[in-house]
Amino acid sequence: MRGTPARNLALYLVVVAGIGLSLEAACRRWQTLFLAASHRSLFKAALLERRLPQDIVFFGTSRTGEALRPRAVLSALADAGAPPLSAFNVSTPFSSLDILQSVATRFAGSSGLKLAVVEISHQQLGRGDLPWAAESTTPSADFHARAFSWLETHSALVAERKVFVLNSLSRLMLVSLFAARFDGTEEFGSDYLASILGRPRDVERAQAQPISCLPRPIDAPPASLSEFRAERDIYVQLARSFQEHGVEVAFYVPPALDSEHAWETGPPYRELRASIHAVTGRPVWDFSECHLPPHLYRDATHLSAAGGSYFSRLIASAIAADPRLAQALGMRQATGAAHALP
Amino acid sequence: MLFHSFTFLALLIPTLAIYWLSRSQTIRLAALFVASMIFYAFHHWPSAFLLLGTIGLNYSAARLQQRWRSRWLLALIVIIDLSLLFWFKYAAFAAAELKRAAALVGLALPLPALSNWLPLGISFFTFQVIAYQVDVYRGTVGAERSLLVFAVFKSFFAQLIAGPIVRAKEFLPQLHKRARFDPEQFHHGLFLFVAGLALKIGVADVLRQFADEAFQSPAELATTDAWLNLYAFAFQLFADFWGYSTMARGLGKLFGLELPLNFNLPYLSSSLQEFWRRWHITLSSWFRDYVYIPLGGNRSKHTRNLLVAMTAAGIWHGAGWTFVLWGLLHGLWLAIESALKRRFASPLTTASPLRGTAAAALRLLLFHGVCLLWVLFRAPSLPVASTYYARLLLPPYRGHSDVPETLAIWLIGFALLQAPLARVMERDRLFPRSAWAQAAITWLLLALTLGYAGQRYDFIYFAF
Repeated sequence: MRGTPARNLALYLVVVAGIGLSLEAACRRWQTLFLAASHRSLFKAALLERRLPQDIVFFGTSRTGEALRPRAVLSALADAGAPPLSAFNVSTPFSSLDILQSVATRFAGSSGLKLAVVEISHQQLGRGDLPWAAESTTPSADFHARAFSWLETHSALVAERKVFVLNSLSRLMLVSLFAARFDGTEEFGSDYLASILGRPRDVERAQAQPISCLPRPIDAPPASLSEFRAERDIYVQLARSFQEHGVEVAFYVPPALDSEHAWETGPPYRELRASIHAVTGRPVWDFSECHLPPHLYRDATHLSAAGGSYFSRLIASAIAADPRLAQALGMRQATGAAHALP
Repeated sequence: MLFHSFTFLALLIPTLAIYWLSRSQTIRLAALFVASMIFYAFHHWPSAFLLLGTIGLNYSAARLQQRWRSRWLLALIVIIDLSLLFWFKYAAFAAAELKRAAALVGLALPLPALSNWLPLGISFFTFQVIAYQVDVYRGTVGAERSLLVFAVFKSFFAQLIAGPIVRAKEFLPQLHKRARFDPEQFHHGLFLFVAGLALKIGVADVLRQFADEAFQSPAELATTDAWLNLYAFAFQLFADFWGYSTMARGLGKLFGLELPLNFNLPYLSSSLQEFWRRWHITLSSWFRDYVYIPLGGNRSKHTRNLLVAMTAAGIWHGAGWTFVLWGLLHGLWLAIESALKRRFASPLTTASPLRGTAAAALRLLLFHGVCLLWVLFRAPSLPVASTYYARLLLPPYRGHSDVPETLAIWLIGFALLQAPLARVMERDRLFPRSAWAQAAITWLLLALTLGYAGQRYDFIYFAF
């Protein structure tokens, strides 16, 4: 750098400040996008935002991420006589019920949305503050914390600083450049790369096997719930917000490898399902006792890509078998109950 | 008070303003001293009295030493300084071990429970002042006449808590001379401060979680994860201390003061001797000059001297058998390396076509050897260390990894970027770049800092 040291110092400070102000302006301009990059659930939501309108959206945890594959569901629905439809999986790993509520409420009124399929599972019932809200520094007597909190309030750059985290930067790139390539089932870097290259994982199909798996019948509703009252209310609220916008909603319990990991077979979970079904009047498909062959699982609670393709067709059958859902999706005729693999 | 806090900025900015706006060197030094005492007392105010006491004591002892030049006086003040260090840092450990040893032979020692009060930076400022006393005795430096200058030498906040351990010969003349504001030095200081901040918040604190979790329950670790988490600790420790030392140097430059370089890419060394010339340079040179060489250096009983110096270095780091063993093993390794060097020509000095490959292999070997010894440094106890070693080296070898893929990206990224980062921090490499390039690098570092800013963690070396 030429010039006197004093001039160089001044120039350096001016350029640093200039870049800082530009970043601040960019953060204000694209605050929503930057916020979306900062958390996996917001990122998924941002991807869906860019893929709207969608006919069917799947909500849940990583179990739904693996279990419900939009391409497989749509292909099975088309086989059952559905018109061309679109679907997206907005589930995220470690999604709590509070995250589910936040994301589902956000999209309940999306134009074109016809059906929402929502997971009920042991993992999904977890509670906690919304991570993107809880991460902000809470004001305290500590001078540093108060100063930081003040900066967070007044500077978009500080408020959206998580965008500079390694994961966020890659999310920012994915959501800005490749959103149209994803269907929401991508979880790892390799999945995103495969989808960008046009070779999504669920293209892999398992060998056809005569596996029959019917959802377990829902119990009679209990007089009162022994557990999960607040959680039931959230599910009911969710169903109502979808229904208010004319969107059909169906709930499902994903399968597990064995009974040891099928926590959802326990009485409190069964009561919860029965209560949700009774209060909302919406279908609840309980696959907790549907133990598919081990090779269709990635681990005890997550299906593999092949397992997801199988299970997606089961869900498609369940949708097609429900006249109200079939009608909502514009299917010419309900195909009747057939919860066996095609 | 941590460097990476707004509280520190609130202290630094007015101190800088007073320092540079004042024409009087006395006012400048007074500002530095007051700021240093606030900085120190902020963490634990009673410790400030201990610091003040040792300043007064060592100032007086050095003045007396200048007049009488007495070996006994030197011994007395060194014993007093070391006693304070021993009392605060090692007495509780020594008492517990004594009790345990007595219990083995059926004795119950009625030793009182000792306080856990460990004054921040006591290991650093004790060693700094011992070096000063020895230098005054040897006559290599004169006893400082001004109490204020001596007080700033001993308490300057940039280096008070975790070094670099500055020598009187280098630092006292700088405090006497009324510095003129040098924009280039200030500029460099700002850049170093930002770089140190990024190393601490953007690297060390990110890797911290992996190392912490791994050493909490090592028995559960798969072989792959044990290694990955060990690498994470190796880089965390380096980034943490390198970050601190870089910020300290940057702060010194903001006040027109030069502090010595403390790290010079140690993990790129090809021998342990070279590693210790690049890692915590001011501490290893302290042990060389005030322990190893006085014991005879490489002239007589070389192996014993190495073992004593390195074991002492281990003990300096903490009160625990893990540190003793860590130091001892480093000493042993240095002794073996030295013997091998005497017997065989180094593969790096011969004109062999495989020289580059040999250097890379030696670096890799050295890094893994150092990492293996870091287990002792990090483990809270010997049983935890042995469990960790078992997971690293013994079957069953499990390759399944539970650590997120981002850890691998961090480790590879830091391993590759450490050298370019160190280079760009050099004054001669930074200033030829355009203001745009400098600002862009600054913002890359700031973005890393901002992205991971949140919870603040102490620097690892604060515990020593």
